[in-house]
Amino acid sequence: MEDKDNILVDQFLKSTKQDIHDDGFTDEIFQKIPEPILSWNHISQWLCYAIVFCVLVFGGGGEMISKTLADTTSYKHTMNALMQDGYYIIIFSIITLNTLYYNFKDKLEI
Amino acid sequence: MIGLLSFEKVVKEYQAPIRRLFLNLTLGDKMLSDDLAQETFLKAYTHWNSFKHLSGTKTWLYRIAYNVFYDYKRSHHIFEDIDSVCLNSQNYEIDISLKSDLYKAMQLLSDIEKICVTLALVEDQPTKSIAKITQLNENTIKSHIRRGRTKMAEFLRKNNYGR
Repeated sequence: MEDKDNILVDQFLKSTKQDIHDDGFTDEIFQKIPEPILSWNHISQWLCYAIVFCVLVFGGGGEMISKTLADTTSYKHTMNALMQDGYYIIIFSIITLNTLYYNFKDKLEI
Repeated sequence: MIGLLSFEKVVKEYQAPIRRLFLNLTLGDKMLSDDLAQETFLKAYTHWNSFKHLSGTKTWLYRIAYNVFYDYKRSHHIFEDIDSVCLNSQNYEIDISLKSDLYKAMQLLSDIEKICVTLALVEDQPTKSIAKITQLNENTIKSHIRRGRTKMAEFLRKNNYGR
């Protein structure tokens, strides 16, 4: 009796199995996909922040700019200092970008 | 993070079984089952990095669907009665009276019996996969399937099926 019941139920379920078509279901999901935490727009912002950070901290740019404004003869000294510090700026920018990339690459949409 | 093209393939491949599962769990409420199915795929998209591929993608999606269903049950206490659900025949290929009987039969089962019966008998999932999906042991799964079958068989005999 149990075997007959099992066959009855199994046959019924197979006969009522619905073949469901993708009637715009996939499109609706894609409209709801959240924006990634980081995209190239975010990366370019972080790049700008990193460069500004490096210039201000490692170039001492803030102090030099204020000195330059106060005394125009310091202009040449300021430019020389910035040229020397420029190497540091480039190196630390590369390190910052590298760090950002490896920390956040999983969240990037490429 | 899964790329959008790959994710699109995943959705297209697995949307039917996931939606079918929810249709049985919601007794044919197409709008609700599609909402739950969408939530399942969105969770899969945002948590793709946590998928360790120890089970198949389908099993993992069913696991998410199972959790989505129970989260919904916790926040909304009942599903509509079968009589108040509009059995819209668009997009379905089976006779509407058969569909009605299917959901009436499903209504007799507990939620876990619906899940086990649907996964085992409709979606042909092995007991081992159902155990991973529901986090129950295999003997418990078999008991639920047996009880679900018994209840459905009684309903079907009363409604002149199999004669």
